[in-house]
Amino acid sequence: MKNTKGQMHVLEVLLVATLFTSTINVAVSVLPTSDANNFEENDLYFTGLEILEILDEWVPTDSTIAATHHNSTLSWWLATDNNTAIKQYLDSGLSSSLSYRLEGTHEGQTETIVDRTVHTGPVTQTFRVVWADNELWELNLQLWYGYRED
Amino acid sequence: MRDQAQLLLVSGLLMSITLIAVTSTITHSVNLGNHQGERHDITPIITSLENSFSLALEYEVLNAADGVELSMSFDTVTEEFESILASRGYSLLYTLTSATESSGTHTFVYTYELNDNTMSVSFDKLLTF
Repeated sequence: MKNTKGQMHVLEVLLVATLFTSTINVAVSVLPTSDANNFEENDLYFTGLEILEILDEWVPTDSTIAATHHNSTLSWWLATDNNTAIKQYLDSGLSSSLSYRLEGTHEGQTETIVDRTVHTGPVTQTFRVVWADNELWELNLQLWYGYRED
Repeated sequence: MRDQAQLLLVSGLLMSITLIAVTSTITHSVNLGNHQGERHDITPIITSLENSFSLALEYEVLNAADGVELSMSFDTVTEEFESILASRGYSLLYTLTSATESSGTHTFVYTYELNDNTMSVSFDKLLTF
């Protein structure tokens, strides 16, 4: 009688331990782990990085312009304040479901290249460092899902 | 009395094993979850550095005041790049191996290491202008 009681006790302990382990496993699988696991923000971040990279790597067709601006269309447009061309490029290159704002910092001053009211919801910031007009520019591209103003 | 002690011992062992198993499972799942679906590509950062660093260094050296050593110009430029990258969550470290000037030609030998907290790449560079 005493032996049976003991075995039952062991079984009870085993059962409780198994249930506890299972509950924790299910919780870990179902609950969100952290902000690092945000696919949409991660996707936006690389979209921004790549669209600026492509413009930087795009060699102007005019060889004189290319030589002057280090084979970079982005550098050329920044040096010549051609914000309209940058806006057109980003408008056509980014998905229409995305809106954005682009700022550039050089020599301690920040100027807005494409001005749009920043979304109140989640905004992803991406960047690129560019040498333009004998200055180092740090471009800051803010991206968010939403309506794009003109 | 002896049976009770054995039972207590077995129960304690089982609970300990369960605790170890649970702790390992949680640690493993959290580590996986933190990086699940993430994309790690530092190519855009590398191209940005490759395109702009050499031009910034050349400009700094050619416009430096008389008496400014090449290593000081190098430090000035690298500090700016390292600072920008640090503010964006990347670790960047430039290390100068040698800097020489001969008949107006400047030669820099350096390495740089870029880290995005998950992967790290290192490049050996030779720059002449």
